[in-house]
Amino acid sequence: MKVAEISLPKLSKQLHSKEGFRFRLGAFTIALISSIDKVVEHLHFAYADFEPLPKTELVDFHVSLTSPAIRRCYRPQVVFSFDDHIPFLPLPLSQASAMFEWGLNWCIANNAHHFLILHAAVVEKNGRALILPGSPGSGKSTLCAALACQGWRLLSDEMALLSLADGLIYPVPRPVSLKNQSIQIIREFAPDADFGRIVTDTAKGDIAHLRPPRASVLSQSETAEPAFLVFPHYRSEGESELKMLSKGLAFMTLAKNAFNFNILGREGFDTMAHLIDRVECFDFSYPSLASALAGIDGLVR
Amino acid sequence: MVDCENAGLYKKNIQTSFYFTNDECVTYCGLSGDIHLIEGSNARFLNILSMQPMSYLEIVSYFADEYDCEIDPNLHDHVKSMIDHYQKLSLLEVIGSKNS
Repeated sequence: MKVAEISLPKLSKQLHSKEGFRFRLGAFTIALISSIDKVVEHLHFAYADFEPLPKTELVDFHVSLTSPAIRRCYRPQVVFSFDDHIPFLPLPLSQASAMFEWGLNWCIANNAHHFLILHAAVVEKNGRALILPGSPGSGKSTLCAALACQGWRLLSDEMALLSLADGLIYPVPRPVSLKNQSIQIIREFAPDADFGRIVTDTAKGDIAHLRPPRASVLSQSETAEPAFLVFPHYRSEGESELKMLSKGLAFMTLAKNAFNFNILGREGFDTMAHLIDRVECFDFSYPSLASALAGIDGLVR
Repeated sequence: MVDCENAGLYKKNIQTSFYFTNDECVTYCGLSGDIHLIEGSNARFLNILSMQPMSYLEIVSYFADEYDCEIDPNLHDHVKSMIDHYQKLSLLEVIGSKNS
């Protein structure tokens, strides 16, 4: 049974229940409670290939999205809570699906400290994972979406989970969050790609979620061996340029892109050193999606 | 600045981890959580020091070889300044003293 096979009314009923709707997301189990139609639709569409879990399943993250009754008529809002803790200010109700994704990012980044968590997209092909760390605007999610549309396995568009225990990358193949111009770029690049509805006027602009490829969801329990670490930089002019990066400099740059490097202390340092030892490191500037894909293709051949 | 010449042996601070790669060293200080990138001859020096403690004069001699220069006051000043800097970063510590 997949989420897509559950009717919307039945999914809505499960989301309404006090146990919530439970599903596995990579190494985690999630229980989601919500009575918001947009959340039901988002789950049904973007998590279509995920399998529901029984209500007895132990849960890592209990999250809920609710709409306060007092604001239902005038500028309705959505509130995200995790274990009854409300970490963010409410957002407009129209942004409920985006808030679910941001909230889940927050839950993982702040709690999953058995991983070194890198702010990076990760895809995998032929058993070799490509890690694309990057700050907003670097184009990592756009690149990640394009690579996933080309048959790379999507592990994550937002965070690379590097296990402290075995040094492998654990997938969290969630919807790829695309912003502003990136939405149209990927629509043109992959006309068959499955997008959810566009959420407008968020703090990050317009956002659309690309449904993760079915094959990536079905293999969400399969870890990947890191092979390449590529720091992407979008620039509007010039030629694409792939430069080898010294491992020392790659280490320093990657540490700045880790959510919990300081929390993990020496263990985080050792895990990152182990990662850097095993990967080839590059700095990659590119002016267009086509040139970026050609560069990455050349790299992995 | 510490009295390097009368200090004992310098060794890697037990609170610190080093990651060596080619001619670079990334250091991690367990006390502050800070990381630093050290390159070239200084990285090679830390690599040797991580394996065996060295006296001040051995360190001076090491850098004279590295820089292919005479041991003169300038080199002494350079090494003292470097030792002082690395001690402040908690990368090095002293065991014993020359007079003890």
